[in-house]
Amino acid sequence: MEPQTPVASKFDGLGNEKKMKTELKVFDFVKPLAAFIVLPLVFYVFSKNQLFASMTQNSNAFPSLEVYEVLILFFVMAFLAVLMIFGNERILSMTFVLLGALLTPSILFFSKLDWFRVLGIQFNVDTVNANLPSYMVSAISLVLVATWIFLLYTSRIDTAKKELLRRGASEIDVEKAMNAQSSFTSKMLLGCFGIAFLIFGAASAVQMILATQAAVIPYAYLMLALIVACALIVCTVIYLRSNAGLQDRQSRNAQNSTENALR
Amino acid sequence: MKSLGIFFIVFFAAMFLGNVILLYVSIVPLLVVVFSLIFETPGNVKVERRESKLSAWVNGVLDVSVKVTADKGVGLISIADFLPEHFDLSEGNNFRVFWKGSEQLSEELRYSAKCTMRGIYKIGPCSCECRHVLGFKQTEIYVDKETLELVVRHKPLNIKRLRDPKLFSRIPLPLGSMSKLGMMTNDFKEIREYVSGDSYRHVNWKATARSSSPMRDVLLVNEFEKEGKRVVWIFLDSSSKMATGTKIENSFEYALQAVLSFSQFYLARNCHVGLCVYNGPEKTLIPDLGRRQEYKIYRSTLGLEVSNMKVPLKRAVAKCRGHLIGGNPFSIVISNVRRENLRELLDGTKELSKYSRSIGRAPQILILHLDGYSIAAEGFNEEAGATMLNLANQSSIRALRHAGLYVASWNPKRQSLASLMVLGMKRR
Repeated sequence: MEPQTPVASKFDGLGNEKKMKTELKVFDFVKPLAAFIVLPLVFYVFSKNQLFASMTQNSNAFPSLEVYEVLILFFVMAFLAVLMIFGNERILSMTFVLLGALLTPSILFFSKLDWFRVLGIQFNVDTVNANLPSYMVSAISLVLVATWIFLLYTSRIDTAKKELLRRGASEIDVEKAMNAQSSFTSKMLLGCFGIAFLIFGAASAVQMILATQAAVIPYAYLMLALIVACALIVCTVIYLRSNAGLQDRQSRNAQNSTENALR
Repeated sequence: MKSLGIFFIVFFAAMFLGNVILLYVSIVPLLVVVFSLIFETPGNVKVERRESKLSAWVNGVLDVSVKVTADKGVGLISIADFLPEHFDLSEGNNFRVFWKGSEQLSEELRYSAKCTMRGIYKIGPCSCECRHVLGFKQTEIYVDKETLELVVRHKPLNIKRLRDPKLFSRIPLPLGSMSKLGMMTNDFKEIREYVSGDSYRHVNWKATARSSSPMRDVLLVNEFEKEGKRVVWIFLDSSSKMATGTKIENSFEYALQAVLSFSQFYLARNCHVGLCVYNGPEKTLIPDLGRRQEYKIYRSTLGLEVSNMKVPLKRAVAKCRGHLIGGNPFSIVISNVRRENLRELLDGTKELSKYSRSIGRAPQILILHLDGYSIAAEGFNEEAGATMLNLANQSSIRALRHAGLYVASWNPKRQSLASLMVLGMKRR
């Protein structure tokens, strides 16, 4: 049923005049804050990479290397920051893909499988040398993905907020509900990020224990991948089937209740 | 589902490249998916209305409150209470959004709406939209079956009788002719205490037995309505010309208000009141008295609308002939007097005057002319235009007065119906 679209009033749902106008809207600062944290980290990793160093050394386009570095970095970062802050969900995803691309050379440097050698292509891995320890690249990558997901949901919350306001909900109601949702989402994502960090920390200890056993198995990574992929596919199928069954049951119940009402 | 997509891409890239960093990175979206699936979409929503039936006056403010509870899931709950057309939100909102956290939600949707048009409306049903906290599960919509029936009616204008022996009314209001004596009818009126002279046939023995006690021992008798009371007929014009004005404020709405006021006035004075709607779908209420008739009249006016049908007053009077004969009724015709319907009014009132005795030369007919142009006019220029148009109608009103009819011209924006009736008063 489509409700009558009332005019968004200056009263809240209970008829009280707006009181929250002066309240600090924390989530308005989330995007600039995320941009402020993520961009320098990603650019730091990229600037440390051998690829960046080789690009700057080979270039003759700019008279001064330092000015070139600073200017390019500053403008690209500013541009990406603007996209992150003002862009919609799609632009946000594209920005993070771009940031991911800047991290890719450093991440690839730590790959165990050299497909270039497998395919017989001559490629010197040192051209993408990260010049940073693996734990630092991992930590920054984790921060990047966590921020991406967080901003994705923040952007969705924004869309939902606009939709609700367009439908006539009072600003105070929406603000209150959205703040609660954002708070819940950020806590949840923070939890996920914390668990991921714990796993990351614990992994080195586990690695030491399993290293001796894994060394015996040929292509240990591929074996592990196969097992995990199978498990994932099975879990996904089970989830989708159970959800479909639930929806079927719900629609059947709704049909039955309608029939009963008609009788 | 985007998190799931990110996870799959990063995870398979990690597997393909044998990259531990990507494997760690894939953990974050996977955990987000897992945690999201743990939380359910809000459910078990219960909507409870405080009232089940309400009545309000036109332009009155109505307070509606709905209690919402939900005890399952986490996410957003938006609730909307359907408001019919012609309602204006005056305070609060009929659409609210709540956050349902881990604890039980118990909130109230409270708003005030202004009813701008008469009728029988249904408020609701309430519709609840439950969204999953991260949009991983389908949004669920609950529509409550319960609705609130609302009757919106015109507030009758309070017409008062002026009790001054020095005053007499030029308007033929049949108050003095009300009879307390006469033949008793079968219409039950009330139970009252026995007074000397009452017939034993009218003693209500059951009621007497029920009310008797050692301290109080009186007989109770049934009282019936007496014949010989005056009959008042109200003829209402429902032609499309009566719709002058806006949809909410027009001549017809004021005419209905006048119908309710007159009927309430006469019924309160023990007159039989009948209603006949002409120039529209046939609607006749034969004269009756009491609160039941008042209820019948207001109920029948709720659904009345203007029409393009042509049923002239004369034909409507002819249809009611059986009830008019011998009743010596006082008739009130509520219309918009124009040049086009002058002939119709003259013919109709001529037919009506056959059934009631004239007082002097004047038949017992009152024509209430609704000044439609003034109702529609807004601002100085429009009001000036309305005055000019009314001047053109003056010749028609004069023609009716010449025929001996009392024509009261009513501009609801300037004067109340009560003050209009006072205009008909004169000192002896």
